[in-house]
Amino acid sequence: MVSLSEQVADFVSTGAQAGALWSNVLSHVRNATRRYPDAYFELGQKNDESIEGLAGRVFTICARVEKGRFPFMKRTPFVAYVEEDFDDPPIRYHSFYAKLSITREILRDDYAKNIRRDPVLRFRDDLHRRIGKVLPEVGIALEGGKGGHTRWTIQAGPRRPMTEDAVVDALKGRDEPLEVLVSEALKVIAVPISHSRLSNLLGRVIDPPSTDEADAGAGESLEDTVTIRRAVIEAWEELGDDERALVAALARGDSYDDLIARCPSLNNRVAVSRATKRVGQVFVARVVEAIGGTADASAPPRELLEQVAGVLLPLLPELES
Amino acid sequence: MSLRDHIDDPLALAFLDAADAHRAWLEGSLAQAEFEEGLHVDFAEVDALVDQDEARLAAQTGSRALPAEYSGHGYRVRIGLTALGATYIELLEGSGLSLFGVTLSAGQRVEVAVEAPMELAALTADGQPIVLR
Repeated sequence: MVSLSEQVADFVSTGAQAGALWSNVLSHVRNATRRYPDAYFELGQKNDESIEGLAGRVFTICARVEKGRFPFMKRTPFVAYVEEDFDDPPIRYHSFYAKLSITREILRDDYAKNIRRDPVLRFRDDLHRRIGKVLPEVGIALEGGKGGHTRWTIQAGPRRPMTEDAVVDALKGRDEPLEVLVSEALKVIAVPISHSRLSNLLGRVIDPPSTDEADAGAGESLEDTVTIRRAVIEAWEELGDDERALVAALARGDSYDDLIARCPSLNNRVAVSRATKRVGQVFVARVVEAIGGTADASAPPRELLEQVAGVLLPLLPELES
Repeated sequence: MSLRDHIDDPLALAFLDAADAHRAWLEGSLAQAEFEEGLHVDFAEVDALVDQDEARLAAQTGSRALPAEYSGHGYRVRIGLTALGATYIELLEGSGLSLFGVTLSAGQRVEVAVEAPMELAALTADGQPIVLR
């Protein structure tokens, strides 16, 4: 059987093994996403179509998108794997399974997008932010736990840890201020817990608002989403290095000095002005071309650009990081 | 010096506003926290999956009896057996489909030693990854 690293090497050098490599990527993405709920998938639905869509994006990024962060260092992941002489385990690790893998990055971005459009998820996100303000007041932070992140606990006598279901049952229906619920939760959980896990747990304790509220994403189809995203990626690929750096700098909120340190050609106002104009035109033109014939295609450029930003900003970590 | 001071294009300014809002929102979001804290990551399972045997992974997905046909995205593929018992793949509809390490043109039949998977992962001529069932 041809190994994953051999498939990647063949694909990078000659384009051979493309189908076999894609099949392998699909299997690994299925495995990596087993524990994720619906909220992490496009349009909030975990099914064959959304998992395949995700796997397709992982494959496209690995094959075509130069990523800046370690270990890719401005190379496409597949090229980086070959040049670094990775065997199968590190390829699987960085592409699919690591906490910060390409697959999980995309899942995070889709989840963030769903949070914006789904009222129940928005409620949980808001609860998470409120818990974040309360935690330092009532809890004790333990740095560098398993996985390297902060976990929270509370000063209390010896306690027997409870399961999460039992904690939810113990707290459900209590009409208390949030700081009391957080404090009680930390007491009965009895083991250090991450902020996000605590937010999920209290999200089961505190009822979300009625879901009668119209879903902002209703009517949006997977096909529409894919069409606009493809147009935005094509526009991104059409840009030169400096133009991409400019878009990334705008998205990150970099200073002008940071930008010209990376792109000396943008060291005057005229050059920046010219580049920003062209970038905006490229994105708007690609989206108009993609949705041509629809009413949306004749919207003012600013509205179209806001549509581009809605797709591009969550996508930038995939394209640029 | 702020980048905003160097920009006069209204579209770029609109993008900058959207970017500022998005960044501020994402930073404190549940999505970012779950990502960084690895909420849906089981670290022991990750170790096992990273070291897994590819053949075992392929075997987990099962296979179909031959001949098997797959279709979708404007393509139709058959995996069958020749009179001499060799496995072949044949592109019945569409053109330029890459699968199992070969690229098939319209109507082409190629002998390849493969099992018929439950679903067929392939790449179109323009490199789009698709799945046929």
